[in-house]
Amino acid sequence: MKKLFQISLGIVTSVGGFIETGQIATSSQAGAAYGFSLLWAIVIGTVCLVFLIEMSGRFAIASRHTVADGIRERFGSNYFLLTLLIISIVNLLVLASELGGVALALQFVSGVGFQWWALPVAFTAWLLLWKGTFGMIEDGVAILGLVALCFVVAVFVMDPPWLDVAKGLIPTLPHKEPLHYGFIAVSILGAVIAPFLFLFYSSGAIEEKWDKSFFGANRLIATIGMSFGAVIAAAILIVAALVYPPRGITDIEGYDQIAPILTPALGKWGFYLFAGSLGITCFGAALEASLGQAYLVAQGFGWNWSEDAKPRTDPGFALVYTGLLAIAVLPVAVGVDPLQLTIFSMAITALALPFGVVPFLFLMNDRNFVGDHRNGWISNTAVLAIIGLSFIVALITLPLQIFGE
Amino acid sequence: MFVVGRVPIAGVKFRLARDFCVPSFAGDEGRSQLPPALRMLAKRHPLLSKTVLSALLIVSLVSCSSEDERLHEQMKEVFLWSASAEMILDMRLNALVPEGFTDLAVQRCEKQIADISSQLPHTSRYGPARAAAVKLNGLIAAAHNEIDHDRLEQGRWHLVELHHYEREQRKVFGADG
Repeated sequence: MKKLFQISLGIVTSVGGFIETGQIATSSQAGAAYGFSLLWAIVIGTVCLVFLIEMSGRFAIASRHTVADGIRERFGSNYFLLTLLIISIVNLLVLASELGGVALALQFVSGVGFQWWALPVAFTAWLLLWKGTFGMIEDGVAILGLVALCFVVAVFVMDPPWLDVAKGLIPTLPHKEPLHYGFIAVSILGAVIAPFLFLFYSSGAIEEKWDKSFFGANRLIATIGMSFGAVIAAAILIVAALVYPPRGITDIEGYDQIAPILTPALGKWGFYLFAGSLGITCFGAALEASLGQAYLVAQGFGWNWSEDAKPRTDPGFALVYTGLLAIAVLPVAVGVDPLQLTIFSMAITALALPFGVVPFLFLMNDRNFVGDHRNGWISNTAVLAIIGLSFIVALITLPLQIFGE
Repeated sequence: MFVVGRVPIAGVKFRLARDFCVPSFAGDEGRSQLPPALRMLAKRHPLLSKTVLSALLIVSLVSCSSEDERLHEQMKEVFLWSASAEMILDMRLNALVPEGFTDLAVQRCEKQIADISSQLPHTSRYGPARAAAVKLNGLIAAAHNEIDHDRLEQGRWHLVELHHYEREQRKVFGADG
């Protein structure tokens, strides 16, 4: 009974924790610019994420190591430092985007510019990390994040042409602007497969003392939780495709355009539900990204680490999330547009994925770490193919999208 | 051919477009832009000068098509922001979004349109585009002002006018597809 409760809670937190500023921004952009035709990117990104999350849980259970630990032990300090540098840049950009998302949600409901909210938001996040426990952060914020289910409700209220929606699940070439299409596809993949998610998940498995009886639960949580989370991301894309193109809005260049996305379906409440979804999910993701970075550094350097411990017993761990929050708040406080920051950071994430994922795949195939719980050929092939594809498309589209063709 | 990127980094995008811009259409200024050296060449070697002039003509044609594409992209951006302002004001008219949000969001739309308009070259070729952007901003400001002061009928009327003008201009600039 207790395990069933833990599995249910795990699934709920996975659903609530899946959505954040990256998904909201990239799915809205995709829906406005290309209708339903980029739904496939959410699907393949989720397939890859399910594999990676399941692997990181399995790795923690089988080896009693976290991913960061494993990379340092298997590949040595130099390679670990390179991985640390790349993932830290990605985490910093993602954290700045999430803080921007919360600040914007507060701007929408208060009418006060988002820059003014940057410091209070960062301070609140820091305070919660300093005082809170792992369970409080993972369960509390992620359960509140279920408010994002309002996007799914909006889809049914708007009743889309389901056949066209189904067609969007099959990858197709775009009828216009292939570079922009590729860039948005890559941004969606970057938003879905955020490295902090599996760093956070593997550390959580150790924080919650998962033993070998949790292999099945891990698989269920990863598969069902992430799949339901992807349904919300797909719902955002579908609603955007129904709301924007008929109004002549065929691209999204600011969160001001996204804010009224739920209003046609849910009326006045739609606006506040959107602001609530954006604020809560981004706040949850900001906490997870900060913790993900603190876990990565502390585990990599062999420091004490636990969100449940008092900061005085793991000062290095607490210093990392404090420093990261202090740096990440700067672009938001000086007024850098959170949407620009988000789209850019998601594309950079896609570009950086192989540096974190490929060594992790080596670990998952190493008997010394996982014994008989090694990867099968299906998971290896699926993850390598999706990460390889997103890396190549990101490599081509990112410079061309920024500097022109 | 240089086509501006689509990442929403608007400032960078238009700065790039401006910096890489090919020379403007020679007819704009109503005077010859041939440098003295070329004029001397034309006098001394008529055959060679024809080749040089043909090359110049080709370069001008390419530059025109590049300018057309850039203008098309810039006007698409203008219509995007104008449609966004229209959507937000329409929702405000029906009390679906709060006033504070509307003010900030519509101000941003107006600013973006003004920025794009100010980045258009000051030549007669771009005159209609600049005029369209200014009129769109005027209509947005008028509708915003009426709605702000609870004169909802007038606000609705300005929104209808904005909608029609935007649709008409989309056709003019080939941005209705």
